[in-house]
Amino acid sequence: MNKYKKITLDGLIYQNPTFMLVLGTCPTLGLISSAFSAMGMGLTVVVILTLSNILISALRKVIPNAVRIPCYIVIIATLVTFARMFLEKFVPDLYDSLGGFLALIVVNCIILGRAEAFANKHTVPEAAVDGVMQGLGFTVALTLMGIICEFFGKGSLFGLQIMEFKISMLAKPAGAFLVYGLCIAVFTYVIDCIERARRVKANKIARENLLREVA
Amino acid sequence: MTVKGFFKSNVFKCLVTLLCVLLVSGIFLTIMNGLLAISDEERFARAISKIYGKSVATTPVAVADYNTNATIEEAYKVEDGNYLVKSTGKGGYENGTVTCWVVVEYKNGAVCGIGKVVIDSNKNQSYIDRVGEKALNQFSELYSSEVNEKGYTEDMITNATVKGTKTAICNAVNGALDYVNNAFGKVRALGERFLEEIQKAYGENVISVYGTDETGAEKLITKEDETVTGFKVDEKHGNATVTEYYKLKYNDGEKDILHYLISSTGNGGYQDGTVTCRVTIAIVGGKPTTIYNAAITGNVGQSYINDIKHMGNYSNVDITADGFEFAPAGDFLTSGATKSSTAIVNAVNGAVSYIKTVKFETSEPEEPEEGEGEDSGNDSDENGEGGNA
Repeated sequence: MNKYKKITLDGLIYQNPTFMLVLGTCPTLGLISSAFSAMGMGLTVVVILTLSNILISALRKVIPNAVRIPCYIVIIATLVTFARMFLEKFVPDLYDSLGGFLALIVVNCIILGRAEAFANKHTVPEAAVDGVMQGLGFTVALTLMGIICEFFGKGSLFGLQIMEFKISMLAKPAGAFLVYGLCIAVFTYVIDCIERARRVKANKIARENLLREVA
Repeated sequence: MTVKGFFKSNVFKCLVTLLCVLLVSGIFLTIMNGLLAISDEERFARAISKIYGKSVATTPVAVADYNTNATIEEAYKVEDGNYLVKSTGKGGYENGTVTCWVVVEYKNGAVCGIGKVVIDSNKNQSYIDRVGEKALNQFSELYSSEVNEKGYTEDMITNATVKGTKTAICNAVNGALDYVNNAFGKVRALGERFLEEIQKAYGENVISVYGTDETGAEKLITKEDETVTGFKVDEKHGNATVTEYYKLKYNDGEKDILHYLISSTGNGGYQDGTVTCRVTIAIVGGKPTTIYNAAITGNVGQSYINDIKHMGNYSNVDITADGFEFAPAGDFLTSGATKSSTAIVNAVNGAVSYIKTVKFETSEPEEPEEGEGEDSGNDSDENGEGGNA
């Protein structure tokens, strides 16, 4: 399989940071009561993750192993501070809605985890693709859960009131926790089914090949 | 380890790398801070646009704190006459704060409502986004004179499940209210308000209102008067007590006319309460001729006083030579507040009864005739001496 295709599928599906690796749960539970905030947080993480992956990959041969974690933290913190400045200047509504969670991206496990697990072992293009795909995986998961929580918890979508019926608990972290758990269950089940189907298909092909060889 | 050895060691390499990363990051952030910094003007423009949806002219005014639970950061007088106050409320979640822009509606020298509340920033309030527009709009909807006096409490605001944050927001709004009340709510002299109120009934006519000074002598009331005092009476007349009166002189375009503005409190209202009216009576030719108008100025225990709709019936009613008296059950007293109406009738009758006891020393010159012109303009001498003054 093409390595970029593998990185893409890993980021979006097989190593999805939210549903498969269960990373970055703090902003996930705190922000999915609003689809707009969830998507905003996801996109911010995409940018920071991609840039941090690129920088760390580029500097991987320069940064000594003993001080790699402090260096990663400084790089990530710089990018997060830049992102805060940018959002406050150009997207103040999103900046306000993300609140304290924006600053907490510095210690987001996804970013530091990808820096440590992927970026410092791969080339810059690979690290960049990984950053984008992992970030998008996180964004899609957050937005999906944000839509569910906001729709059922507030009766609205992206701030647009749609219906009066609502289950208020779903707009709170406790409800978000339930939705998160259900989404993980469904996601894992679907991936399991796909994997099983792929295995069955691979076995069938192998058996046919074997039969053909025997014949 | 030798010096040369140190420079070649891994420790030195680590130090240099860390310092370089820190230096580059610092330079980058310094440049970005310069490029992306938000000026105070920009922040203010954003707040204005959030509140008004357009840019409006504002004038900065001096700030001061009148509430220990809030700090007034900035305040502006807006072109529509209201005040825009940036107030930081204390007592939020984890001792945090919430800074709000509060539009304090201001009219006739007093606070009359909360126009809008917009959250500007906060400290430690992780769930500030739970306080939406619906919750903030309640500050406008729930405003009353009682709220102006006692302030908002967090229990009054619903649709927001964050208690500490709500407390800080309430404190911010209360701080803004206290500030405007104390700094601007009392700046207009009583005389200005009093004359403005009187002017409403007389339209564009130039009026002069006379009361009394400390010695009891007649005194022209001006806008600058801090205390406005009428001639004291305190006499019972029928079912009413006449407490004081003012003299008002104006020109109807043809001649100068003297009016008596009599404060009369009628008894017999709902649950033995009272209604106080200011009854204006025209004096022509040295005697009371017409009830110019009557207006309610106060009441005790009259819950339905706002249902009274017949006050216009007391306007321009002639006082005949054989006496005048409204009947409490008269046909024209149609309202949903019968008892209050009775008290009003008593108040008006009391005022008329009082004015009949006043002995006017000289006659009002109705139509100056030829050869008598020298007396016509000197109405203060002619009309100014009320018998009971």
